[in-house]
Amino acid sequence: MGHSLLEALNVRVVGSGEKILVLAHGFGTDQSAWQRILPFFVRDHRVVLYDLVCAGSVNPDYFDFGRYTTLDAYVDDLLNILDALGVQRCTYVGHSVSAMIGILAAIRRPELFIKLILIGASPRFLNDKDYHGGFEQGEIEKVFSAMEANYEAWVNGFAPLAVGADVPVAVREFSRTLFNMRPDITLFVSRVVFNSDFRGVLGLVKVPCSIIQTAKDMSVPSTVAYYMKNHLGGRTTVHPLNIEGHLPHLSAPNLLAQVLRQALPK
Amino acid sequence: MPTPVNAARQCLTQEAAVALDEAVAVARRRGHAQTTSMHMVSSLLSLPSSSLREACMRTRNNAYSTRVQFKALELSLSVALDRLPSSQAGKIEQPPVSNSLMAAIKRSQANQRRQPENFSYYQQQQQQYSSCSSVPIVKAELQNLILSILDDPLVSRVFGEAGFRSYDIKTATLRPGNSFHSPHLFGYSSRRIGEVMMKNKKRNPLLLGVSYGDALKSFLEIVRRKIDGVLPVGLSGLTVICVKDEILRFVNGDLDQDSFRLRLEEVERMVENAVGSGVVLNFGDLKVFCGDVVCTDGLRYMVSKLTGLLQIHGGKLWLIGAAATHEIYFKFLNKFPSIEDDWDLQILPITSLTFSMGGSYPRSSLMESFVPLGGFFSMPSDTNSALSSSCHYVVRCHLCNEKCEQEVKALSDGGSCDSVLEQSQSSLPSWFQIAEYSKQNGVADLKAKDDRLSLNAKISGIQKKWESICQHHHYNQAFTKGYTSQFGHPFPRVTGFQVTQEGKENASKDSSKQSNESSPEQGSNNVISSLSSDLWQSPPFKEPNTLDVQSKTNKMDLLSKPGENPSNFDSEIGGLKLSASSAGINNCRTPTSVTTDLGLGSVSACTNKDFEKHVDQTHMGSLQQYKVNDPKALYKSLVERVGLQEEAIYAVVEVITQCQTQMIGLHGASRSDKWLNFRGPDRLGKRKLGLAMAEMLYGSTDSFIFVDLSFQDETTHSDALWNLQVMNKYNVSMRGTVVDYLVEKVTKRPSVVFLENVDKADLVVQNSLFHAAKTGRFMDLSGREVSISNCLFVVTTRFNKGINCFFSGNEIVACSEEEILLVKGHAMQIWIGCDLNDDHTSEKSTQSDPISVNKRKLTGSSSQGRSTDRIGILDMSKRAHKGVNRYLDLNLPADASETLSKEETETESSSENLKSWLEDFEGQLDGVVVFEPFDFEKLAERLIKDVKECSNKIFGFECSLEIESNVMQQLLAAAYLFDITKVDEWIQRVLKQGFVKAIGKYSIDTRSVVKLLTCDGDFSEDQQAGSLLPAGVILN
Repeated sequence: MGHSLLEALNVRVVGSGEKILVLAHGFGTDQSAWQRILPFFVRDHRVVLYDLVCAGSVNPDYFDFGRYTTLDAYVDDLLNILDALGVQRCTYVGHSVSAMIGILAAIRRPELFIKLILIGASPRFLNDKDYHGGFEQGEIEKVFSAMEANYEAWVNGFAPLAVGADVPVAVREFSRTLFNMRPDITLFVSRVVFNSDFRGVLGLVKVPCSIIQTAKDMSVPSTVAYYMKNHLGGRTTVHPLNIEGHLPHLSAPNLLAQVLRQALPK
Repeated sequence: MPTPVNAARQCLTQEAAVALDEAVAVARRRGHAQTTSMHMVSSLLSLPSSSLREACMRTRNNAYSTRVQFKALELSLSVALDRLPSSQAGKIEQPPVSNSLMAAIKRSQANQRRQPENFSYYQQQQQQYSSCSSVPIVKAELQNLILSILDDPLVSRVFGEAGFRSYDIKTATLRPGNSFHSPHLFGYSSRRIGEVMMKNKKRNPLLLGVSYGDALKSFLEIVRRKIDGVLPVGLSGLTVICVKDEILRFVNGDLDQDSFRLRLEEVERMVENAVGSGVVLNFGDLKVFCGDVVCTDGLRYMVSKLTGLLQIHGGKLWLIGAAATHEIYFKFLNKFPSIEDDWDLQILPITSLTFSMGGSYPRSSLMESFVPLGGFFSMPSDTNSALSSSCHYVVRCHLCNEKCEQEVKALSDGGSCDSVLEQSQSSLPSWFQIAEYSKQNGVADLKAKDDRLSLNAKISGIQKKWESICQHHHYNQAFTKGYTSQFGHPFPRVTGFQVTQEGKENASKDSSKQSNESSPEQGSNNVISSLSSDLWQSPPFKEPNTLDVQSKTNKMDLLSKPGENPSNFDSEIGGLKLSASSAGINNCRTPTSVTTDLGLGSVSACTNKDFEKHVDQTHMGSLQQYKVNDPKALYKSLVERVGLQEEAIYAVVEVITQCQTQMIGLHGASRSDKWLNFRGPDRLGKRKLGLAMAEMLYGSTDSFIFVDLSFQDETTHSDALWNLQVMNKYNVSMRGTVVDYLVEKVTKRPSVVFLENVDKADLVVQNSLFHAAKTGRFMDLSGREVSISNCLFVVTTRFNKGINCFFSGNEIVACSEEEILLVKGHAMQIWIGCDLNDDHTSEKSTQSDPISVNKRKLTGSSSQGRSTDRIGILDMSKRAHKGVNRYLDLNLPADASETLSKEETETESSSENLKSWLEDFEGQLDGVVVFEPFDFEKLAERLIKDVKECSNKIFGFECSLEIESNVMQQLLAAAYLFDITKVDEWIQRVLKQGFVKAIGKYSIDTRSVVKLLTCDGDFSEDQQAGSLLPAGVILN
């Protein structure tokens, strides 16, 4: 399992240092999203990078539609990678869907994680009685059908919204990785993500968490960050970023790196 | 002989019957005489959660995409359906089931009966039915029906044409976890439940999560239906007993204890007699144990009973239950703290809701293409309702078929309408609508369609926005501006330069290389074929007042002024910076900016020596200005501006002139960039000097680029004041990194680049600074290199090599600069008291100031004792001269001092790395200039003297004068930030007036004590911006 998995998911370990930092990318990107964050940490950390199985940079044949129906399968991948690398303790930085993967992984194997740093995380995207996740079921269905109808067009429309349109380089980069994903996989993953509901399990997380939330994130209302803070079981802090967009590591890497440095366990 | 539909339905489970009804509907719509296997296939593929389609998807040949294969399947199927004979009698309401399909149904029934694991089930059923007269029939399940139909040679051929092999599909259908609808998800969670149950400890799963219901249901279903392959082998033959209703009734008091006990005994017997691996007892949702109406005794009884059962039958009995949230579980845990051990529970987070492939990609792809073909896969319009209530769906399909078809048509019309819309908008097509969906919380697409005009308007709005974005983030502007300012710089000697053809070719080669490097991933085709053509196309050049760079570079043939110092030309070779931007490449693609560095310095092989010289002069112009001037004059004017730090200024001038005249820069002859480190305290002095240098050497403070690399929060007065003076300042909320910012700025014009706290810089910045200091070229993060010739880099560190440690709170600093910089403007008052003691200079008076004593206490507690280490000489009452040290009232907000100390520890922890980097870095610099701490003590003495003089003058005699330390700090800060003359002026104007008023109000004699205090918390509102001194003094 170990070796082939490391290869299939393009696992890389860079940098030097005793501390291990896992950078896990989110939906629509791959590990290249961390490119501009990475240099800030390689001196003091061994940084583990990998691609989610749904990323465009992974051979789509590895994407087993039967297996990746829940995020638990992604958690298996993450834990297998960490085990294969012999990681005992690490700090985990997860963006979007990887934030949720990190939460599940920390529930399953709390001893493995010193701290979780969650960027643009949401336990549930759909609105509920007492919960504002930001989306209504109907909207999501429309997004899905748009995705099916013309993937490229959807990507071109979605990317600037997600990034915050004033950073063309970041938009371009996000569009590239998003478009690299095979459309059916993108759709499938989005369905899995939108079908996930983590609200009930947040209390099981005992690992300390830092939530990094931008001022305006089209996918995650800022109330969600505080919902998470109130429900996560461990010591949790929220770091608001005064910028727009769901992908601060692409659009404001410098700022994010500063905040990450603050959030990293001392 | 075809079978009537009703008879055939008898042989099917409800699920399979739904599929048959759908097949009948297809046959009817097509006007076929019989419902055949082919119709059945069509129906099976179009079902909301079609396991057949799903199986196809998993078996699909990797050589083709799913879309292609399904397209092919749909084609071959439609061809096959077209071949079927149509009914002669016109449309039949229910085309009877053909022999071949009926045979398939019978095969599946037989198959089901033969399956050994089903044997007991049918026997049981037979017993149940024995009371009835009707003969029990085996009802064919959908899965078996699919398998049988795939055996049909016709069907097999249709699939074969699309590249599917029946055999593969069958295997896929049979594959574990896929045997009933929405299998995927729950296959997974069920497997995990199984894994928990196989453990030795913590073997009883408690599902936790809002969406536990589906996972639990599917697990129970798997167990009940004995589906193999999902659960571990050790769990085969499990039995499920659900006691959740009994428990619910019992804890609510609806069921008495005896009946409950009986039920549990029944359970116990079943466990004892269980044939398979054991019994799973489902106790349901923990919620019911936490409600208000719960009878606590009953609950305790129930829990203890179950605990007892587990203890006795541990190996063969499992408990399973669920809770929606951790909070509910936590409540339960509070009631029964040991429950986790007693029940041996293992929490299993469940985070996924019902997930069916029904609404997903493959079906929709079929739909999409089938609609134009006439929609013979009937479409359930609402996937969700169809899923949950298939009966309803059937009814609708039969009775409301017309309506359904209408809907389909509307949908397809809508689709084509959309696509028309797409085509009509060339560059920003349908995504816009999607964008709008997500942005405006779902504008109905119909509305969007109706409103095409506004849509168009919006689209053009977006296009405009993009254009502006393109321009905004475009280096064209920077380039243009940079060039105008460079060429237009009013240096009489500098007249221009000539670019040879050779140089131009170089440039275009370079630029194309650069563009490739800068955007390798985009794969964009913005390779600049020819620099000049691109320059022509660049939008900003269309502006009439912009320089026509191409013609300038070609035609400007002006000579340098003779009689220049020749040594300058020999040694200093500047770089010609050209930043060229390719104009918009594609509609939506932002132009990538490319800066080309001609790197003339390194192209020393260039034959045209004159050319180099010209360029040198062009760029040297600005630097030469001070070179021509007398260094002494420079020194003098710098001292004039800065006021203090004469030694440091002298050292700076020395380093600069040395580099100039002797041409022995550390970097050899070809470098015209200078690097200095200002080391030591006096942050303000360093800043002032930096700013003055920009003014003196580069002619304007515009050429001053400032970055504080420690990115501290700027809340202090001095920061606000400083920000007013600095034009080019990076702050952390800017998009892009420091390095990008610097690269952009230095390409515009040669400047003083002032980098404060370089020791606090992050690794990335450190590396690029090191690289720049070493090579004279600045590289931004995308690999773009620019020359930094003629720039003067000033980095500052608080680090002092002599002391070899960071200044910290432990040191005895008379009055730290940090404190002074944090001072805020308070209102001030004069307090007149009477000193009854004759000897007003005695030691007693050291404690005679109750206010400052009080405040000291406050400060001590609020800054957590840190301030108490600091010994101040700032008690500026007269006694201070006697050397009585007092603790300072720092007036620091508690959190501010905390962050300070936090930062310090952080710095110290990584100081090892820093030191080595700093040493290496300093090795690359032209010079290190050490700054002395600002002498606040001396300043304070002088200010006291001034105040005293002032009071003496007014009162006419010497009385006891006390100046509270807060007031003193305020005066010091004002003197430090602005100028001592400003404070003198204030004393002469404002304070004097206060004293005069005091005389009028009180009788003051030699025994009076005059105190100058701040009004606590009362910020003087009327102060001018930037002033720390109140416009009037309150008399108390």
